[in-house]
Amino acid sequence: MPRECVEVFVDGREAWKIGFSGFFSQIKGNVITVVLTIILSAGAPWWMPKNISTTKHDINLLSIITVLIIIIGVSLAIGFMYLKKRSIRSLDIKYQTHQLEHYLRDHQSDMFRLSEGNPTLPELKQIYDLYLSEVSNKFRNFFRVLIKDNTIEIAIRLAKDTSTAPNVLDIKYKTVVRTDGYNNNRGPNSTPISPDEGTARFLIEERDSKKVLIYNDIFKAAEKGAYKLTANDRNYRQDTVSMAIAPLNGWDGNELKMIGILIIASRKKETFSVKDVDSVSFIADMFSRSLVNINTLFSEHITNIGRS
Amino acid sequence: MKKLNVLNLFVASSRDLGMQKFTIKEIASKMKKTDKINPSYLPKIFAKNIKKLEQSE
Repeated sequence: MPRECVEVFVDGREAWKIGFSGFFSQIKGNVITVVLTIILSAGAPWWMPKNISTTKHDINLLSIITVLIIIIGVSLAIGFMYLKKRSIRSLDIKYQTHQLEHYLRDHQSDMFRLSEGNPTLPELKQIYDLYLSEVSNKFRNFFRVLIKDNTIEIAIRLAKDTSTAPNVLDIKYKTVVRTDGYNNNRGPNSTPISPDEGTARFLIEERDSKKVLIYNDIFKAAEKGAYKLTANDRNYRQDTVSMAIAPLNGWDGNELKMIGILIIASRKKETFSVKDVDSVSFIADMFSRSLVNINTLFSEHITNIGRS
Repeated sequence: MKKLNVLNLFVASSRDLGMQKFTIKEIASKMKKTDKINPSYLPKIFAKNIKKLEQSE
């Protein structure tokens, strides 16, 4: 069944029920399998001769046992190879998850340490940029292992006041980092997105239930009004063949608000599914918490620098 | 939950199983809004700090 151009999910716990294998993994599927096995094993196939003359067909028991042993042996070997592959991938995902959290913790500690030396604003900015760049690369590694797609790239949009007039607030979600697999020319043409429309508005208004958007075709979605194309989407369409988009919700002084947007893009079709939703949300939540901690630390410094 | 037909009884999709929260029409109607979003929903403190940081370049 073809996937829709855009899908919205909250969690993926029921994803095991999807598709042919999902059906046969459920109780009703188990019952059908057992019933079919009993029916099929109760009678001989229609193509088998009704009477088999033992004089015409000598059965060599040794050959049958040999073939059976070979079949069982090969099946076991294939089974163990598959199990090994699954185990390695599972351990790899756990390792990447640990590395990610380890990095966030250590980098945050480094920033607290550095902040004690009263850094200047440009120094803070340099540290912040390095943090965003490294963290996005780690997210990319994590999703590449998890989804088994080496074309995955990450972009992060953060809320920024873009107003030039004093005492006027004009918040837009601006791309602050993207991993190096995206087209290099995207940077100068990057368009900040407004919170009043498109994906940003959708995610802000749905923030209470924390939804993840999965795009299988942004152009088709745009035709239907379910996506707002940017110049970069049109110019570098191969970068974002499919996407998963999650809100970065964090504490903003008095309430939980959408401080940014996490974009995971692939050059392949239909890369993301409901099975990935909880992993995407997990990374988004972990990153939001780290961002808010660092922003709180920096805001104290920015205020102190402003006073001095 | 959407009623399953014979074909998708065996190959149920996430929509058939009620996992998708909105139809495309519903998503589009939410994204097509053009009025100003409620300002209280916006992260003012965070956005101002990012601006100050970027101004330091």
